[in-house]
Amino acid sequence: MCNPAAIALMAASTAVDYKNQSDATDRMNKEIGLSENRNDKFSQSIINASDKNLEQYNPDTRIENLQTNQDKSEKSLTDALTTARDNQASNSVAAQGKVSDTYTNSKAERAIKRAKAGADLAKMISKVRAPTTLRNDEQQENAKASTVMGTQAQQRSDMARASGYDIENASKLNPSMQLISGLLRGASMAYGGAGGAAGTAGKTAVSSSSFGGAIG
Amino acid sequence: MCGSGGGGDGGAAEREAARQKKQDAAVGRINSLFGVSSNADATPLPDRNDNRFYTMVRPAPFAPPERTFNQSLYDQAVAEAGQNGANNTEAEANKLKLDSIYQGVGDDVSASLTKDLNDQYEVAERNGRFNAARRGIRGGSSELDMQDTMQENYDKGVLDVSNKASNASLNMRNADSKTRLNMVQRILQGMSGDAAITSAQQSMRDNTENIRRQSLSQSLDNVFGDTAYINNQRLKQQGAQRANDYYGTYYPSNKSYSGVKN
Repeated sequence: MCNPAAIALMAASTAVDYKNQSDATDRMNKEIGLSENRNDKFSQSIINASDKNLEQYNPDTRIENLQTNQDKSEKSLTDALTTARDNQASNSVAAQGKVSDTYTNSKAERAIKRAKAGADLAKMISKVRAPTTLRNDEQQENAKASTVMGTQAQQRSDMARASGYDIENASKLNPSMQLISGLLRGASMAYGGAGGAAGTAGKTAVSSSSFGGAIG
Repeated sequence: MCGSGGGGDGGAAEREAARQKKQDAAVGRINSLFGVSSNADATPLPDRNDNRFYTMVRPAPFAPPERTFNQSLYDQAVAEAGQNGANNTEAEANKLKLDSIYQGVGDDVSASLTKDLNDQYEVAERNGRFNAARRGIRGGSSELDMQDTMQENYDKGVLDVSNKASNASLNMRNADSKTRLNMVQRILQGMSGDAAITSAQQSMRDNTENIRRQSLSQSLDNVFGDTAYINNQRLKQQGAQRANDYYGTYYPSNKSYSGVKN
């Protein structure tokens, strides 16, 4: 009944089972850790890209950018007006016949006024254009950030799926050790009188499925 | 020990990492093609127009301050960005080329519409000049008023052309950006990098042609329409007056014709 050899063999079998399960748990925990690290890296990368993208929405930065856009736009429009006027002047038809000095002087004065009015108009239009340009630039930056964030999110998801397979694989018991455990248990039973030992061991042996139900 | 051989992780994560590396390379090639640096953690090369590279300097004690570009500050920022991985020279080179294409589209639109504007101006100016001569007001303040109106319209036309040219450039840039996002999305969904590159190049060519065609097909409104209308009305009035003078009371005047004007 209480054959010491049978008990020893059963104890050895239980120890192998325990080791096998313990190793599987360690491997699984290690894989889970690796998976979480990878996940953290992806998440951090997404957060970094988001933070970097958000910098452009800092009110001070936006005010600066708005002003820069306005200045650039105003310069571009004023340049366009100046160039057009220069071309116009070189193509204009001179007044034929005699005209009064009043006419000539008044024309010159009006040209100056017109130039100022043109510059004012350019300034007004540049103020209208600046927010659109700013929004457009911001959208371009958003697009760049969304590429990074979208790629990282997709890859995180794909990697999580792959990690899931690895975790599942790592958590599986080692079949070689299961075989050894089974052989030890079988030997224990072969010594006869192992019923008691088996009965005792059966409570602790967790994985016995691979041994064809030898433990009853 | 016997147990050391089994219970591995299957290597799915490693294979996935290798796949993602290829995916990253493909996305990087697409980004580079569109002039965007792929390195998510890289500091982008600094923008020359950034206000931080400009300092306000007074050329003289009481003169208004002038905005001056600080080259050394910019060089320092470029060097710092380079240390942080922003040395994607291919992407930078492509960005310069693309900027030049966008600028070129804007310039083409501007040149085409400016020609239209100048043609309109030439016709309106000639009509106005002849009209002033017919009415005997050539060299008078009335002609100056008319010239003022025309010049104002011309200025608005120039600014309108500039806006349209700028919009053409922006549309082109936005279209390319959409194409890039679309291509990256396709790679993430499993399209091969080479196929995506080919498709992206084709899309870029299409974008350029579409925007150029759309922009060039639009024309300016009748910029000097109101001046032409006034000239026409005056010509009509002159005609009616001549008829009145010739036919006397038999020709019905505008005033007595139930408000219906010819």
